[in-house]
Amino acid sequence: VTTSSRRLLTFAVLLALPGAAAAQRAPDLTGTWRIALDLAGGTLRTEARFARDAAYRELWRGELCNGGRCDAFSDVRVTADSVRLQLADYAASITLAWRGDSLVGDYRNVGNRGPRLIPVRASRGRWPVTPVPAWLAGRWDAQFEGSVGSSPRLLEFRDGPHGLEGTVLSATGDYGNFRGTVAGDSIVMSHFDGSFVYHVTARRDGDSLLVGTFHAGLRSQTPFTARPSRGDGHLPDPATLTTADTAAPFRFAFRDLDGRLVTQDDARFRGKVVVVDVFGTWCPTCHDAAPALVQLYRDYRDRGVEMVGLAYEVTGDSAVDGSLVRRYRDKFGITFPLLLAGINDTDAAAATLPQLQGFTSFPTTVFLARDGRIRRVHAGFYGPAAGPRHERQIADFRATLDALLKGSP
Amino acid sequence: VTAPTIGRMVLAACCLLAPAPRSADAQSAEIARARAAHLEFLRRFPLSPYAALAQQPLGDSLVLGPDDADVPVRGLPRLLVRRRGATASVELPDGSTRALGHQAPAAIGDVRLLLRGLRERPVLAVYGAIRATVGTRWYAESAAAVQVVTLAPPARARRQPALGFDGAETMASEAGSVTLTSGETLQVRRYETGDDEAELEIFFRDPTNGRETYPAGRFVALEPLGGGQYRLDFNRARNPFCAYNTIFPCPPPWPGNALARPMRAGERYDAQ
Repeated sequence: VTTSSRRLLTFAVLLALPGAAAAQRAPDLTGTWRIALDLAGGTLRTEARFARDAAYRELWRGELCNGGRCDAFSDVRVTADSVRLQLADYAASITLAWRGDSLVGDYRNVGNRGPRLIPVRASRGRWPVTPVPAWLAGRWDAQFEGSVGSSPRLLEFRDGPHGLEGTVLSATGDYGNFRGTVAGDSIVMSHFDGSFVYHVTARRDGDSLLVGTFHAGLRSQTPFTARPSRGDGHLPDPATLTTADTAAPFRFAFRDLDGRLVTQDDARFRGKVVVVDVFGTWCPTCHDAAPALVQLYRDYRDRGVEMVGLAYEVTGDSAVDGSLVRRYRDKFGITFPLLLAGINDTDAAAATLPQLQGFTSFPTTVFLARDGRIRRVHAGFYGPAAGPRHERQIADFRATLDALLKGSP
Repeated sequence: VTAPTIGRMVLAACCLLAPAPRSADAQSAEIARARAAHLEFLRRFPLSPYAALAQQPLGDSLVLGPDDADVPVRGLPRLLVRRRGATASVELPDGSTRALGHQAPAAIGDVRLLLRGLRERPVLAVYGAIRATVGTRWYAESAAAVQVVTLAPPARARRQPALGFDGAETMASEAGSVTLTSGETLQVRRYETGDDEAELEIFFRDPTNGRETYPAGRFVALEPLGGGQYRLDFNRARNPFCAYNTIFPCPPPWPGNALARPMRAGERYDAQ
């Protein structure tokens, strides 16, 4: 290298330095952010929180919050130009560009029909909190009107630390925690978890009628009407949705995460009351059910209860599915065996579990007596967003286990 | 931080908190992003229509692989796919089997298999490497191609199987009709795309078909604006998947849905 070329190089480095320094000055993401998704039928509001990793300061951590329920982003990358958030175990992403101290971009996930793209805006701070009026709080029996018929749902509204919180329930589970606002006779509340995009808009019509629209995804809109709930009879009982062959012991034979074949005849299940959790790592309701099952296992294991999870995953490729299930196991601290049972389709699951009839729901919880025969099948799961229903369901699971341990039919 | 900077920050924050801005600029930016995402999907996504090697009704079973197979796929060993209701199992050469779920792609060697369409009569799609390089293929965005319309209810909301723009059957129902500023009327169908999701789609033809745009016509979705009104933006008109790859069947043009004047907006078609 000649002296002149060395001078040229030095000059070039000096020229590049200010740019390089600027490129490294990524704005500080720390704190709470208002996130707005612009759906065709209105603005879905959610919040996110970000902080630097406690140990590795160059890394960012973040959570997406639907009211009191927050879930971690799979990955957070911040540069001087952009913020890239990975959601739903990397199945979806939000890419945002800095605009002053705010962010603008898109939420994106791609299926085989093409990309789904929803505009996203974000700014620092929290969404306003509005109190929930007495007329709204509680449960409402809703009818969702499809193009060729209607189907029942339950709407729940409650006053929480974040203002209006609530959920939407079907016969087999809830749609997650919603958060929103009330202005006069109008309400809006939303749920966004990276996979599911739900938005409810409604207004009061007279004293005892809500007229609204349930928005799903970018454009889907289902009109509904709702009236104050008259009790539990509005939705079918989850225990009646799936029936079972109770004449013979429940049979299963699938491989665990280490490739070992596990069956109902293994020593760990023999003579025990067994809970079979039919789940998928892709299923948000299963994520709601997992902590409750882990707690039940802790409480009942020494009393003679065993558990097993049957995972129905995305690809059917044991290497890929195995890593998803391992992540799920570690996330919830699951110590009972998780088996790779098949792919995420109710028909496929039904085919591998022929003793369950009418199987349609993830998760489905199957309770086996000490003789190995099915005593109860519970389709779906009401997560924490369902409030008292969630607690009542867990109490109900405990009562079932207590009865089975005592040998009651 | 200077006062003007703070001013800009406050202004930016105010704008961001305002209800969804739907200015012409915002619309343009959104269309540009949607087009970029669509190109990325076509060029890079493993299940891009340009990666499709075959799509065939599954029936009771299909053999994939060698030249004498039902679906010859070069480089693929003989695979027997057996239908099990809405799902299937794949018998591999080593004697093992793989489950194949509805809408759940499975990678086997260098190909991906996907069961699509209606659960009661699924079709098997086979994807390999993306074979074509796709260029920009849209008309310049035009403000004249955007209209606000109302949806007149259908005479009868019949629900039946219909071929979607992606060359797979789904359930669809008549959703009514919209009348354009030209006085022309277009039929609308509601296509079910997921558990709680559906799209209001129009499959229309116009005099550009066959010369500048795809011969069979193009799809455009209605965007709800509230109060019974919808944005009909022909800048978002897109080709059915059969335009990208003849492996996908083409939905038959809907009776009547033909515009008298050329609609030079949305996606174009270059016969290659």
